[in-house]
Amino acid sequence: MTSRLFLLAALVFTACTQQTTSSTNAFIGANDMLLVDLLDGGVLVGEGNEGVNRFLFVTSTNTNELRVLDLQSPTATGVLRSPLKAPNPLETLSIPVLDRPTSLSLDTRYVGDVRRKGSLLYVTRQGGAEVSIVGVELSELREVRRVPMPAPVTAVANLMPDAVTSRLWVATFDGTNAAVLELTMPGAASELRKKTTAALVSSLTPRLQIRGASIIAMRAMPGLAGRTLAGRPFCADLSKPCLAVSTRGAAGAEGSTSLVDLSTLETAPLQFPGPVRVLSTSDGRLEGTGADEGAMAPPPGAIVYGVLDEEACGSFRCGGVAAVDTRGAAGVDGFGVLRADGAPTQPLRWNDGLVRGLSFVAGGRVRLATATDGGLGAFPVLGLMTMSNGDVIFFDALTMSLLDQDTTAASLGEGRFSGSTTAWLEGPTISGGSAESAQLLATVKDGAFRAQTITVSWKGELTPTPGLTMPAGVSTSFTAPSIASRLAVGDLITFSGQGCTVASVTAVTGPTVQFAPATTCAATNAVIRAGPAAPYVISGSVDGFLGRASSGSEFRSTSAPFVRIPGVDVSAPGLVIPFGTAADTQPPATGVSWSFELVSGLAPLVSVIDPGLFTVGTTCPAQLQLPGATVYEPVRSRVFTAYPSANVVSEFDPLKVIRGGIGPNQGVSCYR
Amino acid sequence: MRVLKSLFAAAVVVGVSACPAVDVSLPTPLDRFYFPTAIAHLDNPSGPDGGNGLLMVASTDFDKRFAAGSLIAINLDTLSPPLPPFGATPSSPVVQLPMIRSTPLGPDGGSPDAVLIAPFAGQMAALPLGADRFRLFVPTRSERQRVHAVDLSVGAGGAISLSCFNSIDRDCGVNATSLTTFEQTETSVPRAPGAFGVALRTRACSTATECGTDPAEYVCRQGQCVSTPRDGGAQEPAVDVLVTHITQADSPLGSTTNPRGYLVKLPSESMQVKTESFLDLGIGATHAVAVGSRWNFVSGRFLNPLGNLIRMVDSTSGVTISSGLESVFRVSESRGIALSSDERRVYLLGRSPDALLVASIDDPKSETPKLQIVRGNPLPETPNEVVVLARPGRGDLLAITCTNAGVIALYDDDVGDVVVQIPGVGIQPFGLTVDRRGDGARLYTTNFQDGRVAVIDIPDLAQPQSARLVAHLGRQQLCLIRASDPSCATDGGVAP
Repeated sequence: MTSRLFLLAALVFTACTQQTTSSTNAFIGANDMLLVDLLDGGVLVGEGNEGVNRFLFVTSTNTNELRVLDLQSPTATGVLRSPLKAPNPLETLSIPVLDRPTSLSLDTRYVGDVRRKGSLLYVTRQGGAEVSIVGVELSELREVRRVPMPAPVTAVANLMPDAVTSRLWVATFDGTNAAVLELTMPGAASELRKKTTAALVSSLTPRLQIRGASIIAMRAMPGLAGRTLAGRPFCADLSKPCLAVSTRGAAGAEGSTSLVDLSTLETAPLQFPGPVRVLSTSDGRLEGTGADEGAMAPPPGAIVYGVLDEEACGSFRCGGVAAVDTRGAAGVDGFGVLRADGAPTQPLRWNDGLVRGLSFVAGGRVRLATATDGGLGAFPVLGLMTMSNGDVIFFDALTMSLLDQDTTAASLGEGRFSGSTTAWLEGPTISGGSAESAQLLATVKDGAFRAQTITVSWKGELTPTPGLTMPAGVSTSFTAPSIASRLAVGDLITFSGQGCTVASVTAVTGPTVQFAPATTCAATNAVIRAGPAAPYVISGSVDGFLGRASSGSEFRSTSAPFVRIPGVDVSAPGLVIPFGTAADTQPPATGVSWSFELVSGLAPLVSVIDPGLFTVGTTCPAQLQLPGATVYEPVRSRVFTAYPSANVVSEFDPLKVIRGGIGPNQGVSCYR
Repeated sequence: MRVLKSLFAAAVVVGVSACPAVDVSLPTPLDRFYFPTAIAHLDNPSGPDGGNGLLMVASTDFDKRFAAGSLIAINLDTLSPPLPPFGATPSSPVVQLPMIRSTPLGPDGGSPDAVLIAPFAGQMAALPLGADRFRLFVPTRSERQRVHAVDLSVGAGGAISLSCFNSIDRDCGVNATSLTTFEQTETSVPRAPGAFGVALRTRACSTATECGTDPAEYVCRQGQCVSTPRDGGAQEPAVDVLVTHITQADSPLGSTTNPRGYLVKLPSESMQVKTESFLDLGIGATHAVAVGSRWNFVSGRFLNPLGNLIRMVDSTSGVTISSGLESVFRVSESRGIALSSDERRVYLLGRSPDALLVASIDDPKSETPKLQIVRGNPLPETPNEVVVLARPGRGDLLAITCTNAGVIALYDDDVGDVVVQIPGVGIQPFGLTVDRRGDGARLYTTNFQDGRVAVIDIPDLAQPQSARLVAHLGRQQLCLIRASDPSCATDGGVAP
């Protein structure tokens, strides 16, 4: 009988859900969180910075509420932080909001460069046509109004025009068109309560409409003095808001980001290198906290950061975080990528994984093995991102550089041939000797690349595997915007399909590739190989296509360095490969390649909270594996990260964090 | 203590029902659903133009209140009152259709359009055998891990009849294929405890010899195997029935050592199980399977610390490749899985946390297709099943049951996020099937906990925001399973 009892119990547990959430857990569905000041009557409470960032509001998605972690410093007796208690101190405070909340946004305004937080918090969920407005003052801590929207909400942004007024922008999508609605309301919960929901709905004002695309991300920021577009002031009035808007279409393959001057509705493109799915900006400095470097932070909204949509290319390789500088004059194409040391920055990526959380702090500090002042490095703007593979990555957000912990320089390893060495005399120049001992006479710049295999292929493929999908009825041309810039006249096109023949590229105009002879074989796919103009294709196993070269030339990689190393000239090419000119050799077979290992000499500050470092009985569970939202709290110098995989908010000390696994020695604590 | 008591009571039922000599179980009702899970919609060959079709619903008899589970076929055009017309403005409250039968049960409580099956049904797959015949496949986590095959035929007058493939009995558990056939061997494997997911793969061929061990029983027609029974029975397509199981097999039995998971491949024309029917996928139980042009994509259950989220099994060689996605996007385990309409993406429902993962497939027909995560979105609590609604010229729309949240989430691949969460469908929506209607679709989902089937219309797939609940089928079971339920005070728990 006992065994049958267990059998039935097992069936019961396996048939439904395996979620094991204790009723004592506060954060059941910790999908988003943000820092909130301790306010009373709209006034900051506490001496010094005690009230600043005092609370961490966290979604408890599965219980349709918000919970609040009190960040008051632990007591000398070691009492840990805990969720804020309800008026009945036996219970944890619950703030019921709309069903299944997943996204939070807090009222914000700027006084000069200093950020002031307001009293209202906006709560949304995916696919929900409503917004919960929550009062965050001590006397409130409850939902004040729930405002229905005409269509499901896809993004929100807010910026207070003054100390007593709130302004919210809500992006909706009705299946065809996107709209941005503006809602202006009292900034204090007590005043907002005097407005009926109907009155709030009637005051929703359409500000933007976009046809055929949805708005996936939106960010409001104050105007910036000196910002111009076509010679005229653009988003330059500090008292008026601007809106950065990212659109998405065609399953993520398309999308653009623009800055909108809401006073004139003029727009300027933000030249991110691809579609963006999350927008952020560096925060203003916080008085009295962080290192002096915080005073060197650019003004709020000057730098717009975007998480690149990995769907654009079908791989995390085109993801990462990129930055656009909106200071000064916009070019004809809009505002360009942030430049550092005279060169454009490039997207930040490291290991495989998708960016999940992003945080910026002016004057942030972390421990650096390469720092000279005892191990701490301080930055005007320190960036922090969490990744779907568990990584927690710090970076310098003004140079868009990972923080290297390795003092050795990059180098090249031994090469490998896939064909006869004698056929390569006009290929990449080597040091001579046997195939086994030959070395490439190439140079690599420290910080230019991640560790990877560099391959030089004769008549190598210029198309990504497995080639380009051809449009129906392709005859003499097709468009290939992602690779057109790397093609040249004479490149060879092999079409897939019964009876297809090989064609040659005859012209490349913008994204359009023309070829001859015409194909009539109903080709479905095409692979393009390098032709005689530059038959050598250089590619990296991590970075993909790097460029192409011809005999007698010198290949010079022009991409920006992956990590900026002090003292290394960013304008110098990252990789230089000389090619030989021997004319009496037979060309190698198509596709023959020469490859070599590139040793990066990089060890960025990439960490992961390792549950294996904790003892049994710890408050940090084994499911601490998928980080999400994260914030660097500068007053207490702590990093808080939500782990929806474990319904936990973790905390660690960034001044103790190390590359690799971090655990109790780095001050890790977990809150449920 | 109350929980223990009820478990104990239920265990008594289990114990008694396991003894064939004394069966005190209640007869299985065939006029209602009871803890329904698996569901499939079929077009009715005898139905009116633009009709509602047929609905197959498997009840699990989850608490073993009754003698067995059931599989009931419903002619959706003969319900009284009728289903609301597709796309019509829903009434408030939505239409309740507690009576799922249009003809009375026989004196013995039986009916030609319903059969008994073992408890704990998982998923369901339907194979068209001809113009008016289908074969339904339903794995169950029952004793002996039975996989049912049930034939459905539609008479000229529209009469529906179900018959057990392996038995003339009305209880299809009799002689049903068991996935524990080799349990009593020295190694106790192969076996597939926790039989759950099912999908069908066309058996490709160039000659009949590739179709089965006896070529005389097959023909290869247009590259696909067709079974030609020697007894003169009707020809029918011969496909592979792929079955997953949500509990790992250990070896020897009960040792908790040498754990492994299988994908079981059964011939639809015989349902005969052999040792070679079990494809060993290595450590980790399997949950669901999506069938691609070459590869089978199998989702995986929890492993410590990370699950084996997707394994790809070559349909011809049986070669298995682990996608390794769990190291890139660290969710603990996976549930429903589906391929995009162009097979360039795979959609996976993750748990811990609840998430939809979207991965690109670089070349779905290659020797080693590579999967790369390109998106991860949170989902409402405990996602279970997903269906893909293809939209010409646009990205796919996904419908997802989120069981504990009690909603159906619609994910728009063009938007890259959940665009609608349909509330009020009932308690614990689980199984999901779709009836395509031109540019729209009607969804049917089984509500595991309240015992009904919810009907949801999406009049225009380009406007998923138009989705709405339009009806419930079946009688609510809350009063039946909890005598103190408030619904008992009204009309016996029928009302919503």
